[in-house]
Amino acid sequence: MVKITIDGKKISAKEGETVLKAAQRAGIFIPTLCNNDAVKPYSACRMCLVEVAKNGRTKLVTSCDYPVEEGIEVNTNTERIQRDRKVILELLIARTGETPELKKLAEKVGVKEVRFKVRNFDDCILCGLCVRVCDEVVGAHAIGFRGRGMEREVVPPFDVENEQCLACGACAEICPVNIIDIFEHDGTRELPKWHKKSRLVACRVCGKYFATEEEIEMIRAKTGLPDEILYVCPDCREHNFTI
Amino acid sequence: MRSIRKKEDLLNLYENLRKEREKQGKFISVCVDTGCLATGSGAVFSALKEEIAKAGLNPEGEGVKKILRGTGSLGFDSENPVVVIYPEKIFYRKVRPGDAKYIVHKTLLNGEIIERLLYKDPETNEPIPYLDDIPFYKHQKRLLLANHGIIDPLSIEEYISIGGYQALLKALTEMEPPQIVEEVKKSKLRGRGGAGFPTGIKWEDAAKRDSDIKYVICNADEGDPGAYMDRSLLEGDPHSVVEGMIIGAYAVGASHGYIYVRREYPKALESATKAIEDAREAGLLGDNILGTGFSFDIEIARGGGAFVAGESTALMASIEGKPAEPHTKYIHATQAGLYSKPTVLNNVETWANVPIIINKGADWYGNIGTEKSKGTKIFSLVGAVKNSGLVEVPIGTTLREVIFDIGGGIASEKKFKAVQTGGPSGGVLPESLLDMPIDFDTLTKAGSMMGSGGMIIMDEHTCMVDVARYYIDFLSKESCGKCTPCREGLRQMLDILTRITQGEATMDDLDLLEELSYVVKDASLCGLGQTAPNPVLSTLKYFRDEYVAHVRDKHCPAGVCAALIEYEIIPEKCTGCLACKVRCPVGAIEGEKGEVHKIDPDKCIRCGICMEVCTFDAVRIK
Amino acid sequence: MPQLPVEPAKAVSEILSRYHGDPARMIEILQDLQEIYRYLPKEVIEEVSHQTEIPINRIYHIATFYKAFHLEPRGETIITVCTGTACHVRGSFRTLDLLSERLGVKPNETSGDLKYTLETVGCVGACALGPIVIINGKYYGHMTPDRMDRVLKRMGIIEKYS
Repeated sequence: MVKITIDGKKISAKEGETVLKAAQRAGIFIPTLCNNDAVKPYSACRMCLVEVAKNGRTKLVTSCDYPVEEGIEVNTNTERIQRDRKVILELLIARTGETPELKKLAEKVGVKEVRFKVRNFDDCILCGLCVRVCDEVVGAHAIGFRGRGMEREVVPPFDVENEQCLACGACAEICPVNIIDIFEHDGTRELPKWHKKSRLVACRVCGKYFATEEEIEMIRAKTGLPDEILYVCPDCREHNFTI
Repeated sequence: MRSIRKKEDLLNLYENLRKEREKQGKFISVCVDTGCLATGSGAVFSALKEEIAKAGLNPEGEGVKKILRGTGSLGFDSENPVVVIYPEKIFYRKVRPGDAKYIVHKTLLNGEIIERLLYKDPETNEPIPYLDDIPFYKHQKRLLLANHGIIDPLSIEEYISIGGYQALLKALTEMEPPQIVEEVKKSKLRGRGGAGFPTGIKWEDAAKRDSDIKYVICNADEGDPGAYMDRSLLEGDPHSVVEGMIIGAYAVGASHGYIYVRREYPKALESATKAIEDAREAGLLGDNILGTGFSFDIEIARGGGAFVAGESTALMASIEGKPAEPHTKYIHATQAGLYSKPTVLNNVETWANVPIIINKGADWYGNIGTEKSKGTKIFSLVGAVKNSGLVEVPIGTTLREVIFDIGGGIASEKKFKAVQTGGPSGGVLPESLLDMPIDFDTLTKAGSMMGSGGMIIMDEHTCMVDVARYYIDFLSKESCGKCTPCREGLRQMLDILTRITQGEATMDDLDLLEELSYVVKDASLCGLGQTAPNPVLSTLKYFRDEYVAHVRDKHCPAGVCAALIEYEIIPEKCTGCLACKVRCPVGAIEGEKGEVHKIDPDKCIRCGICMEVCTFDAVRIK
Repeated sequence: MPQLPVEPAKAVSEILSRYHGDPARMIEILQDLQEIYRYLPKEVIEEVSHQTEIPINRIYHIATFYKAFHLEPRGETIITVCTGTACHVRGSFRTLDLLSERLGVKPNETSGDLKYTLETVGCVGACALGPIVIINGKYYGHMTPDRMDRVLKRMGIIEKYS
């Protein structure tokens, strides 16, 4: 156990955990956008900045990847942090327009008006969660970053349909601003942002669509399961098993 | 070349080469680095070679018996191509291939000085024959650049003949690794890449780490636009960098090294590659160096063209074959750097200091510089200055001494306005700060930075808002784009600055620009974003009036911002000669021969050709 | 789609062997491949991914991140304007504007007929010569719009001045 102070509150943190984690367990709110427990910390959105005082010196760090250390004093809501957070959110809204998720967060951190020209040229905040979940969790490596600086964006390679994409929808699920659309109709699943269209597979037992062809193939390659199991949806599989 | 297997081999080789070199005595040196070649020094070199051969001599004899040497830059780049005749150090400037036969016959063979090729004192107009008497050199202290001009950088024998690799010999055979770390700590050498972190402390931390593999890296990704000392060092004296790296590797216990070279520097890449190959062949890199049991080798990593790769974590990502995206540095590279192994990363100039410190000792080195910043620093003195080039001075020399005593002041009749130091991470300083001694801390305090040593001189025809916009434009494209404040903050800063230069901003925009600058500095992930607002903040601090003139009066006092200026023809001076009309690329000039011409401001693209070609000074900026 | 001069599979395996297939040398591998094709065709990037088993999204990221790489064919004549600070304060932007006007392409673009590529570079480290323009590898120092225009005429890139 490591003893730290967050906003004056004495907290016992676990060895090796991040300041963000410790704060969350203690019920202290720190805004985040690019953080998700499913993937490694990325420290890119900078919303989770906190002040850490150690040996009489104060520094600004991202709480999502800063490891707790014995005796540090953390402040999550100083004037400096409030200013930085507000401006960062203003910058994101200037980029994307006022999406519901950002609006909610803006209210929470106290953004009154966006003083920059709202360009609304892209709805993506470039938190990289979709890319990272696809790389680190799904392992499909179907989408990635393109370019650098102001030109940076998330696309499938060459911005065309990628056969490695499983259309699994993990990217849509993890997106903190909900901008990756996913549609299902007539036995297909579509992710227009990635130009992806996949045929859905119907369960041999109940007839309901339950996975894309690519997902089935991926599971087949990984597990070598026979068709009798592969083409049965999880619900029916469980049902059969209990019988 | 014989392989050097033990201490005595290197000592003997040095003795023989030194004697051979002394016997030769006289020689001609021609700078053949990138900057010099672009001024035609290659043709001068060839012509000299031919003339020397014609005179019955062998221009490029075996080993170090050379009468003609192609060398690194002598630094005085505005006088290139430069030819120097040793040992007297007769300095010829702006030499043409046609001058070769006179140089060979008169000066080399008969000791006669050719006056028309000499540098003339700008005040007295008196010719100055010898290099050391020229003001540009007189006020410098050239330690790192000492070998430029006297050795062929592509020959390891040349380097050894003047005492090269003697520091390595001393370090490996007379010193223990902790002693070397102590010596570097005591020298108070600080990293020359920008931030000025004490090198010895970095080494000490890496040395104490327990690891199967450790790395040393030389950062030669000199991305600062306007700085080229690292290119010049690598091209002109690559072995000093290699020697420094081997000593550093021994001190911290590293077995593997990388030199990360910027792709825009093909010649530096070539000379670094050659130096490594030659050192390896000689036995100074590889297994069991000098028979001491210490093994170390260096590889070249070629950059892909990204300014952000100069940032340490980004550079290491790039060496690992990834995009140069920085990550947070809560764990230091000396603990977990390249491939998560302890890593010491220093830049070219820092490494080149190491052999000097080991050779001469920390005490000697400590006599140069200021209390907290020791040694010399190379600056690239460029822009609107008269004497342009690479300048090496003790840290603590004042800006005025560098710009006026060495640089000779402003090139034209215009007035000095500002000096930019530290590149895109640095700031712009006004005339009132010229007597400030240059060191890491004073520059940072003044809102600028030492950076890698770019020093860009600006005269009254430089617009400070345009300069700030220039840097933010550069950085917004060079940002990796990972973190919000840097990517989006620079986008908005560029937007505001562009509107200011177009006369479309309000006074509120100035305040917003300032607040945003502080947030980008505060909240960005890496050094690029954390220093990016410096050019804006420093110009706002020292040249706020100029911003106000753009915003309030829609006026660019320096006459630079295209949207706020208009070219016009002065009727009294125009002779109607058609010169400007013929040359205008967009047909914006009206008027027949003999008539006063007129510029159509709507068609005009503000290229300024009319002003350049007018021999009657009849075109001006309104 | 024009035929590529060298079979991607062959070129890639040749270059990869130069680096013992070490994925850490990806930047150099791509640079060497670009030297063969003068840009990085999609097929070549796909082939690199195939042979190295490195996911294509990573290679694509690298190829679009570094300025060294071009994903589109480039012009026969490459005109590079140095926009380093020393060149900028001496007015290189005016020369760049003029070139853009004369060639009918924006900076860092290639003309439709693949004749010219106009590009900028951060700094070539020859600051005393600034402003510098490099045409197919040849350095031109102290460039002004006037001198640039005369070079263009001499090279036949423009027929007449106005």
